[in-house]
Amino acid sequence: MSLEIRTEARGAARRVALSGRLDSDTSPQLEELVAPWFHDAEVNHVLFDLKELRYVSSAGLRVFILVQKALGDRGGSVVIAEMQAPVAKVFEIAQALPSVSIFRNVQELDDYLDYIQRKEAGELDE
Amino acid sequence: MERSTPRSGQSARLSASLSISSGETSFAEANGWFERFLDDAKVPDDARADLLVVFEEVVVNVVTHAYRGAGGTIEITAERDADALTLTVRDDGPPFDLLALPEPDLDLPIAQRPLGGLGVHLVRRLCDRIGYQRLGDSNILVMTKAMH
Repeated sequence: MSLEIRTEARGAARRVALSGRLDSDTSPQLEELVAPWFHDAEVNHVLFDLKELRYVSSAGLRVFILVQKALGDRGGSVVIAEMQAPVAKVFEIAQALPSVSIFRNVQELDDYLDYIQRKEAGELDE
Repeated sequence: MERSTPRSGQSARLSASLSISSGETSFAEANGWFERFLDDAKVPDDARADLLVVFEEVVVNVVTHAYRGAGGTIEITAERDADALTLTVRDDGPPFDLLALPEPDLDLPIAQRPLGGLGVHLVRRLCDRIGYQRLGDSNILVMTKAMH
């Protein structure tokens, strides 16, 4: 039973790729990773690549709800891309992603990440 | 693992039991046991995914609540017959009905959403039948998922 987490920080965005199982044993790892962002006003976008995540239980849902609460408080965005069917089903039953944008694939997520970077750098016309 | 041999005219049945010690057996071990049972019972993939979540939600809840830190034994039985898989979880702790826990309000905006109650909600939605019984000094939870 394992969870692999790969994170990337880019300006105000954090990209998190999960692989494996997010359950009662492994979710503390994820919670430990994201907890510092809850009160860090410099983190405004959290993007989850869930392509390799094959299992989630309520322990995992808890972390996603906490991230939404924290980012929602300061008008930040939470994005998820490419949920496997069993994972999407659990999120849906629990209605656990009310304020998450769901992208169809990881390419869209990475395009969005680039967009955020360019906007922050003032490269885009407002 | 205990298996019953099919007799003519009777559907094949597979059953297995695991006793876990709430203070000592890891969830990973219990989950590994159940995954092997699901393999042996040739449970279809979508039912398998649902059942693994049900298993975790119930076992973790019972381990957390049944003995409240004092150790104790939890007996898990899985049975597969032609039409369904039934999971029975028994503990000898104080009366505790997992199904009596309040359902979370899932329509609340994210800022007001509570963190608890999602596990029981998932169990209800992923099983076809669930029941709780207090029998003697035991809590017994029985969950059934129909499948072919």
